Amino acid sequence: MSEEMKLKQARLVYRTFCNALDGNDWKYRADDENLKIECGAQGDDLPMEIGIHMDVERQLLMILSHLPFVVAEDKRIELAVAVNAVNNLMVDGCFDFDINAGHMFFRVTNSFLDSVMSEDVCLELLYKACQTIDRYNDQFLMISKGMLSIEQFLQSVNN
Amino acid sequence: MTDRKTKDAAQVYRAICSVLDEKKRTYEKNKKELSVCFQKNCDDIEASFEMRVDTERQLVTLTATLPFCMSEEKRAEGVLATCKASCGMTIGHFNYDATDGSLSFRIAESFVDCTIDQGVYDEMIICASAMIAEYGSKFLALDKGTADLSVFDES
Repeated sequence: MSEEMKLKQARLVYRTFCNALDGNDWKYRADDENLKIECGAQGDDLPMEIGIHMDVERQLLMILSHLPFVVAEDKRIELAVAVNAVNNLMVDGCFDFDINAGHMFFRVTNSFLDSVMSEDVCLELLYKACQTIDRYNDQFLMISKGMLSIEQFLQSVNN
Repeated sequence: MTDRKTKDAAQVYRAICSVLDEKKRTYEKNKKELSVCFQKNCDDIEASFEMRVDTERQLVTLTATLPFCMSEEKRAEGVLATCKASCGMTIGHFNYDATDGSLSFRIAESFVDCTIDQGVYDEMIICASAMIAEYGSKFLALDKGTADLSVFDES
């Protein structure tokens, strides 16, 4: 696929995503030049900042959310265990944990290579991301602060 | 489950089988489960691949399982290694079962009301193979004690 076609395809998916958000009254900040969208959602406990990006070269729709806390060094092994347990349960998307720096992210991607993306799939991926982040972000924070033990967390996750 | 979902899932399943047929890959079909299984050599690591179409979720998942498990004394390090390996990836991630040390790489693609080119399914296989090739030997070296966790910090 030529570079021109890749860019055209990425712009089309970007526009589809924006249209999907507009159709559902989502407020967002759009960067038309870099094909990036930023939006937020208030979960049950913590706010969520969501970044949506079209990777032109790889022809990927990427949704990335940086969890709003840094894990203290003495809790990083426990968080690694928690993230691993949660990732094993998920069907789509995953939590990434940068053990060296203590940062946590949620990531989900979908390829649009030579494909026609629907507004429905854009919303599906976004809602799925929000639900998953909201389900676990407060528990990850509580483990990080020593308010929830890894044993309690694993018990709740496995039940 | 709607007829539309069932029809779309069946179409996706046929596309996956077409990709494998075109690549002349030997595989097992389970039409009832809408899944296929095959073995693939990923740089001397023989991984077991499964691709499954989830009709209800309208999702294709690819799981590539490594042919070894982390030994008991290395299980804890396996958790950290998995985190390090997956962090920073663009597509997919490693799953690690700390109870038995089993490792797999997983990618998913949603096709809700989409027309997904069958090249996407080929790319999923290529990506999984590349990740198994890149990280499989690192997990193995960690398990054998010939490398430590720092090998997962190297790009």
